[in-house]
Parts: sequence; structure tokens; C-alpha cells
Amino acid sequence: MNAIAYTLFLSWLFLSSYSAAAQTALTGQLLTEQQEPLPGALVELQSPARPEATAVTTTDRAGRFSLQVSWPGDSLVLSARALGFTEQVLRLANRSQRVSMTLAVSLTPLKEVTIKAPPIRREGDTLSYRVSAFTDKKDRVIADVLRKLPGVEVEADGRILYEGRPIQKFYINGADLLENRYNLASSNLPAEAVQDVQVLKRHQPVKALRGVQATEQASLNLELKKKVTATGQARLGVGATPALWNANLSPMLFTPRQQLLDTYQANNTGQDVAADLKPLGLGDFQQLLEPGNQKPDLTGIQGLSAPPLATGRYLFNRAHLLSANHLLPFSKEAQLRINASYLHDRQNQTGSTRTRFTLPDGRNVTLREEKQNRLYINQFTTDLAYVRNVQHYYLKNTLSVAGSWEAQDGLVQLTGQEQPVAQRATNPAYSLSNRLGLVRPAGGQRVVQVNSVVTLAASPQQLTVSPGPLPAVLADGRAYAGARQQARAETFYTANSVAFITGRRHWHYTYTAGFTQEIERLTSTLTRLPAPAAVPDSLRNGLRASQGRYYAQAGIDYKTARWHLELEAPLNYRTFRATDAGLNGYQQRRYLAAEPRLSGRYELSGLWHASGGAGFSNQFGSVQQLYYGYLLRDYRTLQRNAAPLTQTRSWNFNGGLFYENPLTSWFYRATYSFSVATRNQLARTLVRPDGTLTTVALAQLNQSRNQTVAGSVSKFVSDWKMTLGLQLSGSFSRQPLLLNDQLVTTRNQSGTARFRASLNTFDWGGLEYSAALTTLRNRLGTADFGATTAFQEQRLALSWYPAEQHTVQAAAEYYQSNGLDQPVRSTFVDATYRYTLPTARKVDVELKATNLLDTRRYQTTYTSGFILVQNNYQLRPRQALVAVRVSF
Amino acid sequence: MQLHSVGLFSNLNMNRLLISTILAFNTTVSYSQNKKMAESDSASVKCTYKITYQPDSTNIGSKNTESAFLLIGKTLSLYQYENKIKLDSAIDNNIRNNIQETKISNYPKANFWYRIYKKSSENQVTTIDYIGTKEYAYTETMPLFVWNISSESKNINGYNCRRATTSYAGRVWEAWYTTEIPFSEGPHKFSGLPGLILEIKDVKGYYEFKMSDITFKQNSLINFSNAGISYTTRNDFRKNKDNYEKNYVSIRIAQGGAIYGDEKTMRKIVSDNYNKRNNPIELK
Repeated sequence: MNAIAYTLFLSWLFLSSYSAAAQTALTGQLLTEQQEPLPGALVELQSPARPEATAVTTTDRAGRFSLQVSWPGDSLVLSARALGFTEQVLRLANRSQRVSMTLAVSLTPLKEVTIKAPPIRREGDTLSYRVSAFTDKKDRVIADVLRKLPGVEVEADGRILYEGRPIQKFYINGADLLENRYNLASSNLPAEAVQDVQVLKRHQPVKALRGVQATEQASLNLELKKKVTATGQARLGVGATPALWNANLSPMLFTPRQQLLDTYQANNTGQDVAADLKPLGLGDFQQLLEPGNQKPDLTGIQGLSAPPLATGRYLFNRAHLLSANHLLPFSKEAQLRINASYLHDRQNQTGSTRTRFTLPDGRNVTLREEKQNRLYINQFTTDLAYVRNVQHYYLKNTLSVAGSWEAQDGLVQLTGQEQPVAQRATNPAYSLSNRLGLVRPAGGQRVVQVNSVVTLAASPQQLTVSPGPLPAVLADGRAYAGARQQARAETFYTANSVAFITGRRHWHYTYTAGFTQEIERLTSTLTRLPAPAAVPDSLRNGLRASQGRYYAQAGIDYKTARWHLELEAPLNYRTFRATDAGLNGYQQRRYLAAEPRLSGRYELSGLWHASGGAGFSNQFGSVQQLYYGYLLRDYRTLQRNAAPLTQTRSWNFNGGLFYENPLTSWFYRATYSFSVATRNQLARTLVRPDGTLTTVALAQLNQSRNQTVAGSVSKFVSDWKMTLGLQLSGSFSRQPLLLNDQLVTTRNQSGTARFRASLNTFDWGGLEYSAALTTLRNRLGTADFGATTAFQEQRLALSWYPAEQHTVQAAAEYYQSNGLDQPVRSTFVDATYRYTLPTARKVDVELKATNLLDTRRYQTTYTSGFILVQNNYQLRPRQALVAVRVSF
Repeated sequence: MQLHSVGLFSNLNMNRLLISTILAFNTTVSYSQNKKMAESDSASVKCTYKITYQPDSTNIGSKNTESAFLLIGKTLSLYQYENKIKLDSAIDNNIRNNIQETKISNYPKANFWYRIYKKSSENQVTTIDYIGTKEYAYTETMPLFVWNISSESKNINGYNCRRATTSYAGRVWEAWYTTEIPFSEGPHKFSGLPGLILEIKDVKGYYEFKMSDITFKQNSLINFSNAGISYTTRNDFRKNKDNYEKNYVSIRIAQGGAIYGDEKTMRKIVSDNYNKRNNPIELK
């Protein structure tokens, strides 16, 4: 037995004179009640005279121990502890002796602890947020949790930002099921299925490009608790008044090889199901908006723009959405992905618009319209993708087919006129596109990348207006029955490029050559009804336009632990040609332009980094802006653009400073950007006393400037489970324009402050508060004409969990719009009671009452340039809905 | 076995170089003979500690986390790191199945390779660590720590804990231990308190060990064997390890081993990595 005790002292003890005390040696043995030796037990000796001192040893295989101390006093306390046994304490005389102790078996087990990981962890470039730390009892789907993560922001449409920049990819268990339509998952996936939300910083989604092409963009991954997860939610609700229904069935399956997310959603409660289909992220190769992917707005009814309110307050809909998303294994390394969806909706919009045009001489022209619109929407989209994303090979081919059939009915009552203006529009759109991306290593650190896109699109649109619009222009001032605008746009677009990427150590080079070609055909006719004998040529379009870009580009990327610099230096040869034989219109342009861009990031320390960039561009506007003949855009806007195509030369600069500390959960950022653009074309707008507008583009060089400054701070206080965030931004811009034949400069300023806090300190409740203040100000010319508007919103939401299965939520919202006339204030109060059935499967019964105060008035006011638009909306009345929700 | 290129190494640390060496040379190295010893014990407690550490004291961005397990048996305890266990099994698996996995980045990243056996009844702490691909052991005698126990207490995960401080190997450590768990144990070499250490950190904040899980079950076996391990002393080990890491390229050349890429680049990488790892747990 060689166990010698080691003694512990308060340090001052060493300095005192206890060395004089005699040495006491204790030896002994610990036994179980069965008289078997007890090894591995902890034996501690203490002295009542010196409570700070303690001596500790562990028993050996034979249960024996020995301890030696030199302590004063006449007694000692010996205690023996072992796992599974009751502690035994003996008081002994302070002298050397042999002690034997028998320990009784203890039946009280020790608490097992599974302490969760810290709420936020950083491992390399991955930041993991533990979902359970940010979830409270009212949260059901993962989007509820995402908006509470510090450093992460979720915009109103569901777009997720990290450090103020949109995320690139949204993965579930590392697989990309939904591409950029990730709202489907974030708003339907139960939060309890998710273990961690991971932010993958500087994540290159193409495996073959990892280590070859660096990226600064972040992606998001949801790490589910189980490798094989079958989950989803089902919800069914009914309510009044009027009769309300809301249904959602979203089954999901995630396995290591296959993923599936299907959904059927239907409601007339104002929930915007189309938001789930909105593309939110960027594609694999960060394609910008390509022609053909978006429906051109050639003509249509005078709409009522959506207010910045939850859709449940103002949207009168009847929507059905069916969406199927499957990711299937195709071969060992390749996958097939199918995303198909169909949307059917009927929407009613009722409201009024007051538009005020401020003229250079200070006079105002005001127009008041009472609007009643009905929209019929049918949309079908299918993407079929083959993806092979492995280290030595990347191939992705996506075939997309989309069709939409939309009809719009509108009725506008103008103040001071007896007869309302009836409008009816149809604007279907069809498109077919194929997108190919290929990456292959070419030995060593060299990679070849090929991209190709081909798109075909067509959109035949028609608008009928009665009584006849703009009689001053279209019928020599005489009233007439009506007008019909027919317009058809056809687009062929292709973009192809080959890139060679190579690198060594800190340097990476990308050499790209490619071309894009866009061919656009626009035919249109504006006829008076009943049809006159002949339609003048100025009311027709027969445009054929083509626009091309042939380019060679060198990209240099320098990356070290601290620096990341990217330089892109393309040399673009741009061509453009447009003809309209019927109107003798013809224009052609070609030029060569260098358009360099430089951006960089520097790690000041592990927590701080700075980024900056500068760039120059010299490009044509879209050919869709061009039409030699008149087009009736809506019942009061007639436009013609026969000027040379816009060419914009712009410089832009930006910089930012970022701080990110996951250990203390502090996140700050400040950014600034400045741009100056020179255009060859000026808008010449004529505002008539009746509020009708004619806009013609004029060839005249002009310059506009834009500045934006923004900052934000967010913090998670983990002891309080509290997230705090503050965002500030301001922008200043100036732009010249020709208004009623007078050249003026408009200056716009805007400022926004946004604060949010969420507190989940207590088990029995939580609090969320957000506030935002936006002011807009504009000035026309040097004179002090113009307008200032302000918009304020505050939201307070309380959750209370009175007992295990009960949740009560109450929310109040306050809005104030300062525009023309008196400020308009709107207050909304909503309440929800939820009972969770005491079953293993989470079943909620929910009673939701919205707009308890039955507030009917809501106003927004925007101002920009010489126009101020003030909208009033008819809101949904007080209503109640009972719903059952199951997550499975 | 070939590695893709030198460029790969730019972000790798010394341990990464060692993995490649293990993969490339499955060599047996001669070692000083010592008495064959094997001992095993079954653990009744498994503790998981989360370690937050900063390997480069000049760069707070080098902060990282890892997990380690402490298995406590009757007469023997073992402390080792989760990532090292994962790395070992990945290498074993590849060697066994003859898989030529050449991308080092596909292996788990393990920053702590050492393991510690404590035999509290014999007052021995044995550390097994690597120099290159070779395992060395050195034994120290307990008590290693002189603890100052204060009267401060706090509750950690339902356990009543007391504060104790000690200074060891160039750092001052602050520990929180509970007498409710009857083991004089802790992470790393820490021991000697009248209970288990649930939290311990150095006062400058470079290292922090926090217990994240504890389970009381008779499950894992702790095996100690000194087969293939050379014995040395702590001082000699530290001196030689430092020398090896500093002069990795020269030593490999002297051994006639292969150097990946050109010598000058390698020397630069090795020296950069060496300078970045300036903040070990034990400073002296």
C-alpha cells in the first residue's frame, strides 16, 4: 500500500506555524457490507480546527488507504465516499491509528447530466446554433427559430441573410432539395426535428471547385436530429366571418440518399401561399436576372401595390398550392431532382390611391382613384435537374418549364367623374429553359468550367379600357367608347461560357470567354373601340431587337489567412441592333468596354474583418425598354421610347466593417456604398391637369448619384435567452429629369431605424418587441418644393404558458403614416390560444382571433422624385379561426 | 501514396503533416525496452468535457472547441480526445481496407493527440503523446497540484460545486469541483480535489474545460498497455517534441524520408505552423 495522502492548504496556512504539530498517520480499509474490499473510493480527512484544510486519497484494489497529516487540534473527521454507496463520516482522535469502515449500498442514483452544447459554437468556418436554445414553446416551424438567431436576419418574404448578405444555399442534412425556393422548408419543417442550424461561411457548393475557387458567401444547413427523418405538418382550420378555411398538408422524408417534401396548401384567410414558391437565393453560378425568366409588364390594369403588412391583414384570396419536391439517387454519385408546383388563386383588392405630382413651378396635380380589382392567377412551374456534385466532377443540367395564365379585372372611380373606368387584362406567359453547368478537373489544381443557358419565352398580353382613355391624345379630345391594347413579347436568350481555373497556393486565376445573345420581338396594336377604319402607325409596334455581349475575362483571386482579394477584369464587346420597319425606326450600336471590379476582405483579428470593393460598368439597358410606337401601360399612362437605348456608365464603391464573436454572441457591422451613374437618356414626362401622364425618353446625357450607409448590432444574452438587434440605414440620391419641359433635379433622402428584442428568460412566457421608423424626404430643384413622409410601426407580442399544454399569445401592432393631411393611425390586436394534446405526437388545437379591434383604415405614403403616392386599403375584418395542427 | 499538391498544406497544421507521415510510412520504430505492462479496468463513469482553446495566443480567431472523454474506473482512469479516436479509427479502417484516401482534409481534424492514464491508488499520472508518428509515455507522481480551496460555491447542472485554484506549468487554473461525485478526478492531468472537477479554466481564458455530459454506467473498458511505447521523462519529451516540430523538415531529410513539394516551401509552412501553435496547455 503506497497511497500517500496529498494535502491541500489555503496558501496562508503554509506561512503559519503548524509545522510544530505532530504527524498523524491514518491507515485503513474500506469494506462493503458483504465484507469485500471497496477499491476506487474517495477518502477525505478534515480537521475541525482548520476547516480550510483537507487531505484526499483513493483506495487501492484491496480497499486500503493511508493518509498523513500534521494538523493541530485533538480531533479529525474522516469521510469515505464511493459511487453507489452511502457516505460514511467518522470523528477520530488526532493520533495515528488504523481505521476500518463499512459502506452501505445507496439506492439513490446520482443525477446524470446531459448538458447541451453551448448555444453557438464555432468550428472552423462553421457556426452552429443549437436550435433548442433558441426555441420556445410557441415555436413550431424552423423559420420561427431562424429569425431569433443573432447574426441571422429573415426578411418579410422569407429571405435569409447572414451578416446582411443573402445566403447562397439552403441545405437540409447537407443536401440541396429546394434550391432557392427554401421557404417551402423553412415554413413547414417542424423545429423539433432540427438539432443545429449551421452557417457555413465561405462555402463553395461545387465540390470540384473547393480549394480552387474561394467564395465569401455563406450557406445554411439544417442538421436534423436523426439521419432518417419522416416529418411534416398537417393543419386544418375553419372560421368566420365570412366563412374561412385554411388547410396545409406537408409530408417530408429525409434519408441519407433521398429527400422528399410535398405540400398542399389552401386558404381564404389571407395567407400568401405563393410566398413559398418565391426564389430567394442565388443559383449555383450566381446568374443575374436573365431575360425570359420574368414576365414582362407590357400592359395591365392599374394595380394597388401590396402594403408592408402581414398578408393576413389585407389579402382577400382563395388560394390552392400543390408542390412536389423530390431528390432521388440516380447513380452512386448522381441525383435527380424534381420540383413541380401548381398555384391557383383569386384575389380581390379594394382601396384608394391619391397620387400627387409636384411640378417645377410648385403647383401640384392630385389624382384620386377608388380601385376595385380582381385577379385570377394560375401558375405552373417544373424544374427537372440532374446533379452530379463530387470532388472530381460537377454536372448539373436543369430543364425548366413554366406557364402562367393570369387575368385581371379592374374598376377605377376617379373623383369628379361620374363613370368608373373599367379595365380588363389578360397576360399569360410561357417559358422553356435549359441550364447546364459542368466542372471538370484538368489535372493538378486546374479546373475547366462550362456554363450554358438557353431560354425561350413568350407573353401575349391584352388590356381593354372603357370609356376610352387619354382622349386628348388618342381621340382629339373627344370622348370615346374604349381602347384595346394588344402586345406580345417573344424572347430568345442564350448565354454560354468556358472558364479555365487554376491556382497555386494563395493565388487563383479564372480565365473566361463567352457570349450572350438576346433576341426580342415586340408586336403591339392600340385600337379604339369601336374599331376605327385604320389604326395609325404611331399606335403600333413591330420591333425586332437583338443585343449581344462577347467577352473575355480574367479573374484573379488572392487568399491568405488574412486577405481575400478578388479582381475581375472583363473586356466586353457589346452589340445592339433594333428595327421597327413599320415606323422606320432603326438603331445600332457597338462598342468595346473594360469593366473591372475589385473587392477585398481583410481579417483585422479573428473577430473583426473589413471588406471593400470598387467597380466600373458600362452597359446597355434592357431592350424591353424600347418601343417606337405608343404603348398604353395602364389606363392613364401612355409611353413611347424611341430614343437611343439607354447606356449607363456607373462607378460604385463600397466598404464595411464587421465584428462577430460567437463566444460572447456579439455581432456588429457597418457598411457604406456610393455610386455615380451617367446615362445617355433622360425621361421627359408631361403631367396633364387631369393626372394623365405621357413619358418619352430623350437623348441627353445626365448623371445621378446614390449613397447608402447602414449599421447593425445584435447580441444574444444567453443567461436571459434574449436576442437584441438594432439596424440603422440611410440613403441619399439625386437624379435629374425633364418635367413639363423644365429640367429639374430631384433629391431623395430616406432613413430607417429598426429595433427588435426577444426575451425567453422564463419557462412560463416570452416577449417580443420590434419597432421601425422610416422617413422619406424629397426636394425638387433648388426651390423648397417637395414632400416629407414618415412611417412608424411597433409590434409587441407576448406569449404566456399558464400550464404545461396551454399557450396564450397576444400581439398588438401600431402603425402611423404621416403623409398628406392628418396622420393615419392603425392599431391591431390579435390573440391566439393553443392547447397541445397530451399525446406523444404533437397535436395542437388553436383558436386564433385576428383584428379584434376591427380596424378598417390603413394608409401608406411613399414619395420619390416628383411623385407622392398615398394608398388606403380595405382590410380584412375581425375574424376567428379554429385550427388543428399535427406535426409528425 | 501521393498527395495532391503542396498548396493543400497551406492551411494545415503539424498534426496534418503527421497523418500523412503515418499513411505514407507504416513503419515500426524501435523503442527502448521496458517491462511489459497491461492493465484494464471497467469504467463506471463517463464524462464528456468541451474544451474551448486558443492555440495561437496572438490570434483570438484561432479559438476552437473539441470534446474529450474521461472514463473513470476503480483503479484507472483514461482521458482522451474524441477527434483523435475518430482519426485513429478512420486511419485503421483505411489501412485495413487498403483505401488510398489521399485527401488529408477528409480525415477528422484532431488537435490533441495525447491521452492520460491516472492510477490514483498508486499516485501515478502517465501521459502518452506523440513525437512524429511515435508514441512516448512519461509518468509523473501525484500530487501534481497544490490546490487552494475557497469558500465560494456555485451550482453547476444541479451539482453543488466549490472553487479551487492552483498554478501548474506556467498557468493559474480555476476549478469548480463537486464532492457529490466521489472521484478525485478531472480533465487533462487535473486531480487531487475531494470530488470531480466539472469546470476548469486558465485565468487568462486560453483554455477552458467544461463538463457537458456525465453518465454512470458500467460500460466502457479502460485498457492500458505499454506495448510499442517508449518511456521517457516529461522534460525530455517536451524538449524533443519541440525540437521535432521546429525542425520537422530537417529531421525528415536526415531520416531519408520524403518531403512533399519543394523543401523551401515546406520549411516555411512548418515554421509558420510552429509559430501559430504558441500556446500549449502546459507552458513549461
